[in-house]
Amino acid sequence: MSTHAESVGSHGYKGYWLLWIVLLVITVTMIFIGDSPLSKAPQAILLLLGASLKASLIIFFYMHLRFENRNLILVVLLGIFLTGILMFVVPAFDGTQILEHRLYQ
Amino acid sequence: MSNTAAAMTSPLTGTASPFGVAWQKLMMWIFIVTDALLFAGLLVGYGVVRVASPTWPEQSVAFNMNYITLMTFTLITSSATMACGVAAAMAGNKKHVTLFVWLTILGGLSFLGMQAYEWSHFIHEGARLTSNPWGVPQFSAAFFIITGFHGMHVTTGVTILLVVAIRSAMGKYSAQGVENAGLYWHFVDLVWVFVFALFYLV
Repeated sequence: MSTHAESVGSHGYKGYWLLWIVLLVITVTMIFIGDSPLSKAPQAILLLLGASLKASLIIFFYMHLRFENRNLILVVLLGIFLTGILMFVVPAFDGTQILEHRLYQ
Repeated sequence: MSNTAAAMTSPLTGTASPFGVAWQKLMMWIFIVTDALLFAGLLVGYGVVRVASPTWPEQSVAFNMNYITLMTFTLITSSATMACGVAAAMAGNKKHVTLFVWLTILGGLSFLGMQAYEWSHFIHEGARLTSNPWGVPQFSAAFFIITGFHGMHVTTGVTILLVVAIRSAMGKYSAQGVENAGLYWHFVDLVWVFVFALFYLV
């Protein structure tokens, strides 16, 4: 069984530059979405999906989480899950209440 | 027992770490998760303030979006060079470690220089923490706090990488040290991904 260092060190640099190109393509796509005539809500959802995809690629490939022990992966994913709840669910409640309040004003 | 194996053993019980990593790396991951919560809190606060504001300035009016895109490009590129530096450290290629870590530092300093220019331009246009020419005080407050916090993280990252680069040039680096510095640097890039999407693009 290969060690973490062997797994990371044996792949060379090519994979990292391929991922760099993928990240740039996602970034350019996100800029087009930001410039598109879509209304703010679907735009925000698409951009958050794009940002989450980029973040996942960085975490698993650049930060080498995919080579780590399963317990460590679970701890980090739990943290990301809680962060995700804070980022997506909490503002959704507040945002809905604020928008409803505005509609009835 | 090798240094790495010793580092993966609990000093209290002498048993293997359930996470299979040295405590320094485990602490770095835990720090990253908690720091992610801090930035999530800032971005959520910004989101609520923005939804609560009847109007919000168009980003393209306040910022030069091509310039912000260049900043993003610089940070993503520095993340790629850092990943190469970590791979070189794992493979024991000292020359490449030094090269890639210095390239990453260059990327970080370029980003900070661009951010300093962006801030000075924004301030020159009349933006302050509590007021700005676009009529929504929360807009500049969110900008200064979120990008300021991120900039402080980049500054810390560059400082850590400078230490790694100098130690590497002296032949004193450890692969684990380079990897931990790399984890922090990728986190800084990761935060910018969300700042760019939520603050500049939405």
